Amino acid sequence: MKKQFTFVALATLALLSACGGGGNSGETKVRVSAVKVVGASLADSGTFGFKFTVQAASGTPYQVYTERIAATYGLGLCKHFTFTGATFAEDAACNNYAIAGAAVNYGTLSANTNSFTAASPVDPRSQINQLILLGAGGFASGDLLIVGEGSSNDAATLATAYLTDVQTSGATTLYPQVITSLLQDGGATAGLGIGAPDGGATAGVVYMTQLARTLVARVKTEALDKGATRVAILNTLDVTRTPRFQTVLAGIAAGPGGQAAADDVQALVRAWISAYNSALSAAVAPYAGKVVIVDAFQGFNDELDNLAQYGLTNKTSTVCFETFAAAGGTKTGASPQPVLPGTIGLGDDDVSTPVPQICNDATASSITPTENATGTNWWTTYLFADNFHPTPYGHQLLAQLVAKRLSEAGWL
Amino acid sequence: MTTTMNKHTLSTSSIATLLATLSATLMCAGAAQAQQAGSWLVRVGATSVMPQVKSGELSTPAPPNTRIDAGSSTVLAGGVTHMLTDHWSVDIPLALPFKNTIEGAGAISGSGELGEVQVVPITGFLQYRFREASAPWRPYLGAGLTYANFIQETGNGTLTGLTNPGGPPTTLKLKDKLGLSVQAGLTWQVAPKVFVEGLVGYTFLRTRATLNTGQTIDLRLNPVSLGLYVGYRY
Repeated sequence: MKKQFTFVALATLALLSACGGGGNSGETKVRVSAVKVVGASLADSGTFGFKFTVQAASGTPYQVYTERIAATYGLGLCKHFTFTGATFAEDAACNNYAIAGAAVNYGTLSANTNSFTAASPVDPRSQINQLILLGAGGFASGDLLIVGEGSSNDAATLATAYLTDVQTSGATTLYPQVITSLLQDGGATAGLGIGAPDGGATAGVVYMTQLARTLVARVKTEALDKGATRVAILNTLDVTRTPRFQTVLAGIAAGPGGQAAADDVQALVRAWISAYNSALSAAVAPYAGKVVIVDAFQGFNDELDNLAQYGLTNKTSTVCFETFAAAGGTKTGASPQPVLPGTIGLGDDDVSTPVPQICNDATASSITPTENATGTNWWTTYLFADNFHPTPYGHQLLAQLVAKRLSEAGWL
Repeated sequence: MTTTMNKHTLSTSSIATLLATLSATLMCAGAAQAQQAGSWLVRVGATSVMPQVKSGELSTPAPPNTRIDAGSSTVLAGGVTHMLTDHWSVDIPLALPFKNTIEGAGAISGSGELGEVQVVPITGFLQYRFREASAPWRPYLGAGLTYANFIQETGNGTLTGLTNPGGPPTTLKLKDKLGLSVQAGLTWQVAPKVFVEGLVGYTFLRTRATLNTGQTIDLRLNPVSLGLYVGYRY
């Protein structure tokens, strides 16, 4: 009898050992009917004919983070807008309203004419306009709305306005113009701009605070009031740590103010971003359960501070710079900038060769980069594709961050 | 006459009488039979397995402190015990596969369920039973080996989202492992051949989960098991 039991146990063991493992049910905690997106370049599915990451020389373009999130739910995501050269053609069947360059308070900044022409909420590059257009179609309760990174462009625009005014010693007044275009207070808050007793620091904080409130107010009226029950909003990442801004800061540090001046500017911009992020968190508090914040600020800084932990090798150079420089590309214009990691962007028009043409995987794999040359796949572990945007792997990391927040909300 | 009557009763298939007779027979024999050398004890009931997970960190690339946990599982279970002597016995627990959920912990503690794994432990115990063979209450201690066979490891969309959103679905495999098990239990004879048995066990079990992304995570599962059964002695 003992032998029989032993036999049964062995037979069971043999049977079970034959069972494999390692499947995936694909199940998510909730069923998402559609992923809808407003945002800027990171979220953009190719409004301008390319995505703001490393290009695929052949085959399927690399996914941006919003596409990765949609795919996690088994859903597709396609660009709602296509730039025709003059206007943005709409495709009603596609739910990704993100456009590179979009901002909450979108407008055109011009040092030459000393003007900030606000175009919010009428231009599709206004994230508010995107919300209005998307909201017009309503939301199903099963929809997931991702409100992307437009505010990072707002921070960049405000910083550019500020630095331009500083550079012109107040001959331009872009900084107060940007602030007043949103606050609509007749210039009371912006005051003298950089000439204010605090150098304009407080006005920037007030602006960024109001910017967050403006966005959330529109999320309420255009999404929540129209049926949305799941909204994930990215907060503003620390744009001062992008190669583009690092080059600007290096330029300031090389000037008469030295490193201290660069540090002051970085602290100033960080204070604005911090104000925005705090205001954003406070503004969504009444909508807990329906609106969550994705802490892109913290996530981005974690990646930069712990490269190896995130499987990254480089945060100082960019894939587009390396391929552009290797091909002998130059910057153009009246006083061309030097070719640096911080000066090569996918959307640049002051370049000898369109950057998207040369910033692709095949070209990257064929060259030896100036930093972290780890073989033909060197570019897959760089964080930055160009001076402001992540590589496909950087998009994956951002998507993971969004997914983590969605899972914490019980939505993934 | 009595014999005739009994035959007559049986021939009419009186179940009540049959049971009464059987019961009387068992009661008469009760004191003479016990958990003694040569006895076979078969039990059926439920076993709960509660992993006491101590998770390592998911290897890079992952946010720091990315860990996992595992849920408890209760299944139909039982076992067979053979008394080698009046005190020493060997025991083989049997159970349906334990289905344990895999959940996020540490940096991903709010992420909830990430998948499921089934565990088929192949276990053998050597036990020592205290008190005399015929005692109605017999506590025992046991020690043995458990071969934890992990099957049907299944990730879900959340796991894919956290590790490679938009990429191929993330799968995982747990390495089958051998561990030391200890147990303490008690049998209570409620009828001459029928007993109730309760036990608590602990298994020292380490394993490693490997994702198809190439990442790994080391786990100390160390499950506590609780069992409650009704048994029959042959």
